[in-house]
Amino acid sequence: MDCKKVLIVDDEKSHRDIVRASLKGKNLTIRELTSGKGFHETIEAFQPDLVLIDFQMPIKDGITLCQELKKYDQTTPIILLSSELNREMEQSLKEIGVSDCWSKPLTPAQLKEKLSHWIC
Amino acid sequence: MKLQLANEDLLKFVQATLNALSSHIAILDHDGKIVAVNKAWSEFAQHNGFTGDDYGLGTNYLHICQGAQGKNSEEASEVGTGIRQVMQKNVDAVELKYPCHSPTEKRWFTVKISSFELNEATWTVIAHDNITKRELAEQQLQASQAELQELNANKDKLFSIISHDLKSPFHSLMGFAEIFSNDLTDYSLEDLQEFGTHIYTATKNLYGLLDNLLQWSQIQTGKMDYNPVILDISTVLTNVISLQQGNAFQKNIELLHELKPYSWIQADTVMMQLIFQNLIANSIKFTEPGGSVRITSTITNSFVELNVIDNGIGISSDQLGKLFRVGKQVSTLGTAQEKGTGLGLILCKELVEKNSGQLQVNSTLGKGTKVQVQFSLAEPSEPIE
Repeated sequence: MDCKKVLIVDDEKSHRDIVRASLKGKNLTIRELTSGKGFHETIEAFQPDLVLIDFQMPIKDGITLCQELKKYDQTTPIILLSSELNREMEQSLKEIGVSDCWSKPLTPAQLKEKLSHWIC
Repeated sequence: MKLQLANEDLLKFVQATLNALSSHIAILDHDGKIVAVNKAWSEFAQHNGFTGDDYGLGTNYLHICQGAQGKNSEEASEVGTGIRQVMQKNVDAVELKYPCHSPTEKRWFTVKISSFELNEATWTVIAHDNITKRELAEQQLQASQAELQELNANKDKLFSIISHDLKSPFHSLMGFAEIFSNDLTDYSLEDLQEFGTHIYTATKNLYGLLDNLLQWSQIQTGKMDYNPVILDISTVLTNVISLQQGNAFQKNIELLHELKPYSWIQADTVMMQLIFQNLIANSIKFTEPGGSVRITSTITNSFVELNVIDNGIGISSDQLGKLFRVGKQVSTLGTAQEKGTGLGLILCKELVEKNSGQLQVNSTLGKGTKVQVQFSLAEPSEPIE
């Protein structure tokens, strides 16, 4: 798998920084968004190979963003991160086309391990 | 053993039996006229100022019910309809519950309407029962059920806050702590400083949340110390404002006050500090740099009104409606992405009410918010020079 570009959507800078730190040393282009604002434009212009979205964000939450993206892009893998995951939620997220759901908190080592399945 | 009685004795026997019952009983003829009443009926009539002869004997009860005016006329008309239905044999019996409050006490009754046939005529039995005790017990039960539901909702809210807001800072704490415990050569000094700031912010948020949760649970369980004293609220507020000046300065927000001196109220000093710390910090949080937060007071006849007014981002009317509902309100990030707990305002309102005050929030989205707190004025404990 030849994945090079990652888009992180999270309203908390510290959480974006952890993901960034976990991906340190890998030859990747990372772009960050603090909300759903400009999400579609970024997808169009950046063409990410992987999208990481936080579940709970003001204005537009992670699920809404996933649903919107799935309307015009069925191939880009989306991973949703949340501190409130349960089996029922996971099931419905998978149904709307989310590739994977990860439960927070995650340390950089755990993130690195999980991300390695998605990024070469 | 079968009872064998002469007609006269039988009448006495029936009357004595009816008199022994606690229900207020009247028998109506086919027109609705009262032909017999029991002792409970007579006594009730007497106690309730019935002026007619023989406690209603000979009166047409059906007409009274159907022609009732004013208080309880609706219920009386329903009873009238019930009597007619039973008389016409549309139904075997009718049972209705109705309030019948006296000037001194609240009372509830049921009325059972049934009929029997004798000597080719239909006789209707009206039996009123005082069910006030049962009704009050039912109301008490409903109230405690509602209270339990509310407590349960509070508990759910607590769990939801714990699951999200308490877990979220740990994502930063664990993540960056792990980075610091490993090889740091991959990171620049700026990176590491940034990571340190994240740990500091996460710890501060976590502590703030824990503090709010503990205070809230203390109020909920009635364990918070409450020592009301006569205090000058303008002095308490001036102190709180000076403590918040640093916060305002950092965010380039002007923090002003126009307070009437010597505004004496009876309240708990610590609770007053908590209320206004929270309210002023909230206003700073939801105001853009360059904006202002004003704390003013006005005194009317017997009240002091304290206002925390900002020209910040305001609250939508939809959110305004949910502000004080535990489990419904949402935490919103501040203009500098400051985290909140969603509990702060609820805490303030509960503390204000504990001190016999009132708290009101008026807000326009995009224009600003005004929080108004009102307390009754008290006599100063020491004479003012």
